[in-house]
Amino acid sequence: MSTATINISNIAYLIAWVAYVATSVCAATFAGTRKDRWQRWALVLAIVGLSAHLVALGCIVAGLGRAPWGSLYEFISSMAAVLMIVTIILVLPNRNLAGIGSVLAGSAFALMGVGLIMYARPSELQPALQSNWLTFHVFLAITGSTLLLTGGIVSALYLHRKQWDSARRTDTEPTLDLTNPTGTEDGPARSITDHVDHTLPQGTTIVAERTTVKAASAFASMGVTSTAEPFTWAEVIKRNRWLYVGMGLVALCLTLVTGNLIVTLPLLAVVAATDIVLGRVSHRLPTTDKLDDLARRIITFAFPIWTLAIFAGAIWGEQAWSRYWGWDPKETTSFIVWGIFAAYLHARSTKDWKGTKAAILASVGSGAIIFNMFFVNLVISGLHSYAGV
Amino acid sequence: MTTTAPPRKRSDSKASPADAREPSTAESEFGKLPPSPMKAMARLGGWRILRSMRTAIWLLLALVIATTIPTLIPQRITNAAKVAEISQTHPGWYQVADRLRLFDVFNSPWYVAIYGSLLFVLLCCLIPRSANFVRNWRRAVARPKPGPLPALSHTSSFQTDTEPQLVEPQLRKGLRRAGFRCGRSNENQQWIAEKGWTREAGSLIFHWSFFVLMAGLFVTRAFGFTGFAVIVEGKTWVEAPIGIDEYNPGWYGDNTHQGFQIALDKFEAKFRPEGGAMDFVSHVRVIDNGKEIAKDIRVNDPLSYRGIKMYQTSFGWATRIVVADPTGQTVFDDFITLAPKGPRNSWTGVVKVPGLRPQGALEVFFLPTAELISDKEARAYNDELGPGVRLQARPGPPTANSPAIVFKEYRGDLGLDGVAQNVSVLDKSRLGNPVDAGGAGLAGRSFQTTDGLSVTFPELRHYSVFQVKHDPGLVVMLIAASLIMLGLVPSLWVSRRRLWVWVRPAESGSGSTVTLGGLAYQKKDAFEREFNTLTKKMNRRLGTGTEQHPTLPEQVTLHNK
Repeated sequence: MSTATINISNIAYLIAWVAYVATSVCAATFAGTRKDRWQRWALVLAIVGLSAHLVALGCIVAGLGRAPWGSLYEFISSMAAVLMIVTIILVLPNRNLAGIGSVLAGSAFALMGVGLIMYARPSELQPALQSNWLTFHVFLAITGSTLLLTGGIVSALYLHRKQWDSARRTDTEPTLDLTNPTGTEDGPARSITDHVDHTLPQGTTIVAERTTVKAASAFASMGVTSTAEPFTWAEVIKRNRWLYVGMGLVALCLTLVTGNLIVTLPLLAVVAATDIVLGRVSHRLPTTDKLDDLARRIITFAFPIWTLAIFAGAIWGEQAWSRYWGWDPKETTSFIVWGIFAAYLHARSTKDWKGTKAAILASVGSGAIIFNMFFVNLVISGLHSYAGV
Repeated sequence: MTTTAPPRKRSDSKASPADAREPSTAESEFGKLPPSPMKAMARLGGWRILRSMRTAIWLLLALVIATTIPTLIPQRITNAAKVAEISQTHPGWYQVADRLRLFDVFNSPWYVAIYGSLLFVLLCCLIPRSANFVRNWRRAVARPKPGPLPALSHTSSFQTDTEPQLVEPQLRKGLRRAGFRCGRSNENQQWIAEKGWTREAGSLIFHWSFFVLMAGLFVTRAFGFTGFAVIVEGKTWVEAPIGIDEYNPGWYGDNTHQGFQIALDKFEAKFRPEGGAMDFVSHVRVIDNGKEIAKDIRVNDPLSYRGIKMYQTSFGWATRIVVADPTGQTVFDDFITLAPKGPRNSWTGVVKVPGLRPQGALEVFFLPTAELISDKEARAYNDELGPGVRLQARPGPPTANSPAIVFKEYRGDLGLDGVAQNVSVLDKSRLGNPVDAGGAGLAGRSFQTTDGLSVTFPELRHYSVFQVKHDPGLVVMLIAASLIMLGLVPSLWVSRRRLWVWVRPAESGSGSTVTLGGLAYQKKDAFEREFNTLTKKMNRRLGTGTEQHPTLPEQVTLHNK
């Protein structure tokens, strides 16, 4: 692969990286202002970024004649591309969801940042890795895990929104007061719908919801401001304190077991910081049912892909390592991820598990994917390790 | 909707048939036989717990949590060396953890108990659910009781000039083409159509497949075998238990050996200039009843012959060593396979000569790239080799540039009597200290030991190690995996829809009115559009007679079930 091709690939990667952070900023501005032009800008920037990103990956494909996942850097780059494709298709064009494009594009940006740290000059694969089954397996693994990761992120957003809903609704809900709605399109509609759910026979929901959303947005356009306050920083931290304590414990355990701080600690710190920021803006997030539906759509699409990725890996393992399943650390973690999302899918159709508990499962599942990507590759040695990254 | 209730989902366990049964009154209970265990369990709520999705989710999560342990604690099956290291460095912890089977989680009783319970709960859910599916197959589209349209989430109706008798077959054909399964109509020309049965069917197939998977595992463990074959270049190996190292037969014996022969013609190891491995190939011939098949076994390309698979696993050096007694008679002449030893690129092996009196043995060290070194260095490094050895292995590429052997000679009792012995392990307990040590270059002069033996090293070859496997469960596993995918996709991506169809003579006199009612079980948001498209399609199909382009059907949305 010529140096020129590598340079083009690297520059395109950086362009995409910058475009994604710009996308994230625009989407966040849109969530704050609800002005359409920011949504448009977010979409345009995301498409520009993705185009550059595909050029970056395409250079590797063209230059080496192999799929762009020969090193952890390329692997992460491909994952970020999949994440952005989902964002562009499902999230940014939808006015109700575009705001969370900031989180997803931000995640792509963060991933690619990690990719830069792990940068390895694209080179030929060793012959043991040149196999069609392997290409198929890794392609599915990247697509499946990225989609599941996205579903998990959306579920985490759901939890934030739900937390805000339940905290603020207790202040505002007692009466079904349409004359004094709380300005935003999302806030009151949810509470009224919930109220309706309890009082009227089933089947009425659809119409009732439509009416309230219409009414609420009408009030919103009249410039009525929100009375439901966002969480303060202190409130967010206080509400989620056990989560942060738990994450600290996880970090501690992983450090004790492996004696390696470098991967775990910064990662969990970033996740916790993001979580606190999200808590602060949770009132700007799409309604819980929108987020729930988005997460469901992504995860139900991704789960069979992930399953097939595991099977394809098993078939390849049978050829290369003489066994289809050997509880290699990567295999084990893949099974864990599979199990968590299987539990999510079952939880969704179980009465007292749907909603919060299901969303917690999906969020934990996305944590497991991150663990699978970084921890298993970098800290635990196994057959899937990228030697020397 | 009086005809059918929507089939029960696994989740609403409260509606399971066992629970729905009304408990009889206490008085009548006395005069009766004790209830069957199943009924008793149902009364206690055990059946309900077993069949509830909650239990299944908790067990699945327990399985997931149990599976996280092996990602943090090294396992014997994947990293035996690390486990051995822990047993040395932390004997106390090792004892405790080993008692808890933490180094062998996947075969531990508690892990088996978790997934066993999960499978049992799954079975308890699947049996009634499958029975339900079969029972509901006809019932779902059974002839509805004549009457007005039941309240459904979506309804539409349109007029057509065609007579009702002609409308019905047309409409049925159209619905079938749209993927609906139509039931028989009642006297009012009302019938039920349904679509998306593959969702439930897929879900059932998916869940049942895990039992197929377990069956595959069982077949592998019961009737398969694993082991290793070590073949020296130029030699022939016979596929039989005796030739397989670390032989691990299935629970129910093995009469699957084929007795064919594998001749290893040549082994090639190619390395990159910088030292990394590039390719390992064993050129073999399969010899079976006079038939010969040539095959190159590579890392990614195993040999598969008559149900036996052979994988290229590793390779090493085999030295031919000839030992002659003081009278000049050859007492040993064979290749010995050597195992890698230490970081210095040296290998060891054993020559046992039971024919000598007293019995003799050589502990052989092979140095692929040997060099002469000074006496001092030799003493430091070759302490274990003995005095007078002036060769050392040079770290370097794993190619043999200046091969040589050094050896220690033992005389005494090999301890061969009766007990089966590993050919490459020397039992030194009755041999005493080495009587001499020496060395020989490849195809060089023979070395004369102090007690008159002459040792020569005429030839060096590679040996190749293959994992040998027979896995009759593999096919079963592949079927299970296919079934899992086959079931999983529709169970997640297909949504179930029910239609209630009514064709009646138009009130205006000629022609007919068609009314469709629709109900979506999943993806309810998308159904409105689907339903409208379907109505339009049916309308276009039947035509309106006078109008070429049907107007949008009038749509009524009902809000009460």
